[in-house]
Amino acid sequence: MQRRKGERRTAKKPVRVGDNKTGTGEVPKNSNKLAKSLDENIRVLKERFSNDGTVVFRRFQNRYLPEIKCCIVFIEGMIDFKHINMQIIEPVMEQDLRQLSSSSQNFLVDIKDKVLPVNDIEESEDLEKILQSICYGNTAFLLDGYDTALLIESKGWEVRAITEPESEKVIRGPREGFTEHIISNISLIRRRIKNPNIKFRFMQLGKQTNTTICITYIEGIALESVLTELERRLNSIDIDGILDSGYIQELIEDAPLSTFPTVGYTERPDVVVARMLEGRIAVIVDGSPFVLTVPHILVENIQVNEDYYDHFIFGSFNRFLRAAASIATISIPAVYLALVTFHQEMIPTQLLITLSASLEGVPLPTSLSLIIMLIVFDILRQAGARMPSAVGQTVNIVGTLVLGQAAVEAHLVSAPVIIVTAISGITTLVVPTLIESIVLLRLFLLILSSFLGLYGYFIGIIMVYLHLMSLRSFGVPYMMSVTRIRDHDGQDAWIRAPWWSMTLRPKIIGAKNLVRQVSNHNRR
Amino acid sequence: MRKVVLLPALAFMLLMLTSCWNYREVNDLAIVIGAAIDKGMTENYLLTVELLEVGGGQDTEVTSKALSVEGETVFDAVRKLISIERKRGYWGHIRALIVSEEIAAEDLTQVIRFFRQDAETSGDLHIIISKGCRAEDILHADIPHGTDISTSLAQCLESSRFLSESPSTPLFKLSQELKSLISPTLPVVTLIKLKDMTIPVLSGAAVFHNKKLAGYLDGEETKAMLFLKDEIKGGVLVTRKDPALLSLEILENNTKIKTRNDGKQLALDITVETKAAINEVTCNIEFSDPTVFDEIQRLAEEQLGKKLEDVIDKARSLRADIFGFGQKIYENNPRKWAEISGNYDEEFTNIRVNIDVNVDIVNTSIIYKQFE
Repeated sequence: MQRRKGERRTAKKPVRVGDNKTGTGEVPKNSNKLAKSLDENIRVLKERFSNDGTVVFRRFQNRYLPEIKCCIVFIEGMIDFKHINMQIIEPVMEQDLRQLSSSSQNFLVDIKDKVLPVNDIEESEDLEKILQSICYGNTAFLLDGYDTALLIESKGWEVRAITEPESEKVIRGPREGFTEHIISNISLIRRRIKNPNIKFRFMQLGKQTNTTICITYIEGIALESVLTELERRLNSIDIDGILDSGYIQELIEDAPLSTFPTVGYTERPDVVVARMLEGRIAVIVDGSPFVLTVPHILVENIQVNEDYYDHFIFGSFNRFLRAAASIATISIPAVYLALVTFHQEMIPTQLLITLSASLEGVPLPTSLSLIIMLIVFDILRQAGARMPSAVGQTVNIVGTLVLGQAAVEAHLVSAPVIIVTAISGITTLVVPTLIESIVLLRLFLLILSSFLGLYGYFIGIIMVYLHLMSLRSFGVPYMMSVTRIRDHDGQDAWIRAPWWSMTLRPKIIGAKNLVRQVSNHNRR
Repeated sequence: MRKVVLLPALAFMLLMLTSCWNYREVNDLAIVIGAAIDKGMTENYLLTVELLEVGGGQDTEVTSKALSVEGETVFDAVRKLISIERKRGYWGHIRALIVSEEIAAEDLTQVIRFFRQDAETSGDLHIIISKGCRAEDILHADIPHGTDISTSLAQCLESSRFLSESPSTPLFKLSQELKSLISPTLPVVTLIKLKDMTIPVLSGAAVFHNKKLAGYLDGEETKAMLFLKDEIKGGVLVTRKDPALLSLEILENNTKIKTRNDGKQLALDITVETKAAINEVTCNIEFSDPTVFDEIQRLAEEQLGKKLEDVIDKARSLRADIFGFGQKIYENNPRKWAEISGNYDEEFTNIRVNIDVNVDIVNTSIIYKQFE
């Protein structure tokens, strides 16, 4: 009975190419274990690494005891040559191992414990584990006569230097940014929280890429429920490759169809640490300088790290400007269109006359010219983001002279339309993390407003508001802190309250350990 | 705190309360800035509109033109305009409506009803009566300043609070007064010759009684009337103290009317409290002497009181209660009002009025001794 059941299960399960934990089906049962013979082990490894010229098999012997035959296996480009030469080959080759050998119970363990001066070393018999370890940049040490390999840490490759992130520049504040190297990213975070309560949990995602990802949080501050949920979502990921944290962001988002991000990302370690201190959990992905943080709420888009480093009044002012600009950028084209084409009685007489003069002789209707100009602006933005810097001049000239001045002079577009586009375009860039939402929302509102005037605009605004109110990020309402200004929630939303008054962490997210500082004792 | 949030939110929501909506480009509109209504030759009314003509291009050039068209009703004429002017008239920004004496003498409301009912026209439209000329002539006159006559007339009315010689009665206020017991007064425009130009000027007020034009007040009478209506915001009180003339600038005024019912006779006690400053003296007067100072105040009070009595007499002769005395009686003593309302026109001429003027000079010119 048992056997039949098992058979049926295996028969039902489709055989997937590349998803073989046990190799191709014909390999004997014991193939996931090492053999005693060095030659046999090398043969097996070479077979698995066939057609891969970067794998190096270096055989060598001890000069005093040539019976000790060993081999190290590593991948070129993933390792530190100097480290391998000095810390692995040299001691084994040059040291007099005769005495050690004669008194040894388990020679391999002795080599591990007494010969190799390396900090991270591990024993393994599992072939799959050895293969994976080699792929990560470790070196496998095989000794003839032993069916166990030593996996020696020897990673070393070219990494980008730690520089200031291009996407989040500051005038005042730390200038370090994450790189593509997960270990150095972790060290950037760790250096800021010198505390054993910070936890790093590793896991591998991506069936082909085996990308390392790391969940980081401060125990005692982060909510367990969010952590469990995050792990559940990460574990259910079954994708073959992860090239950037954007993959994971999209796979674990609460509302994947919404253009509003429910998972935050940043390139700055200080921002990650600040969010972790508020009770959030970070996900670091190897190969991506963008670290994800959850839960993510709307106000985080207008909170910039510099707000907290500058004087709080100035920080609040800047934050207010950012909030106003993000509302203005989606509203200005739609409201302008509504006023000019539907509600002329709302425009002061003098302004109406000026508008009327500038619209005289323009063939395109205002609605169409606004839509065209906004799309042209977005095309310019796209062109500007990807172009090589050498052609930057060309884009500038085309953008400003041809599309701006010449179009007005030729009476193809009216001057106010250009001004509206320009204001709306500039204000977009104030909130960089919301650009995707803003660009689409702006067109959506503009189209509504071209049919229904201000009614359309307000219908659109109400729709967006309802949508935002319905969003949640890991159980936290997306509009948290936006709608409340009374209690401590409002201290860090529309304004940035002074540090001596922010005694509590944000609600819900920081609920586990709400008190940030006991009292405002530092205040004079 | 709740109010602080609620107020901008409510103000924002006001944006939604706009009138009709349909897509129309600004440059497809013929902006009507003013209108004039006369009796027509063949049809009932002659409507003259002042349109703004906006020249496009690099420099905005705004001119105005006046077009006339006849119609059976005002709206009929408004629509017939399209046969002359290629664009549809846009009435949302109209500033002034000039009504001819002739129509005003017949019934003012026959023409202004349209402007109250139409969706586009707004309540802050100024209604002006043309005196001594046809209303259309005002719009065809020479433009003294600015781009068009209607705007300059409206601006004159809006800044007339420093002169107080024309009542500023926008459409919404006029319709309120027509509904209440006050006889409305409207500003008057006439044409004067100035060198080789004919320009419109505002002067005095037209008095209405039972929706009909009853007579006119001149500038000084209008000012006295505004004193009694407690609508004075500024202006000059010229006071004679032989041989000198003093200009007193009105800084603040507060007029209170109280009804007094002693026995059968109804009486009104009017207290006028005015704060003024001496701005000009035609010859040297020693203000520092308290007796002289009190003398000036007394003279100012006397002379202002006289003007107030004169204008009440004038209103009585026109039988038009332009000060709202009837309204005051109705508010304070409704029983008495019920008694006299049937024959109020007659009663109005007989009400006893006690005027108590109190001029308080709070400021004098410090350098008044400059030529001695």
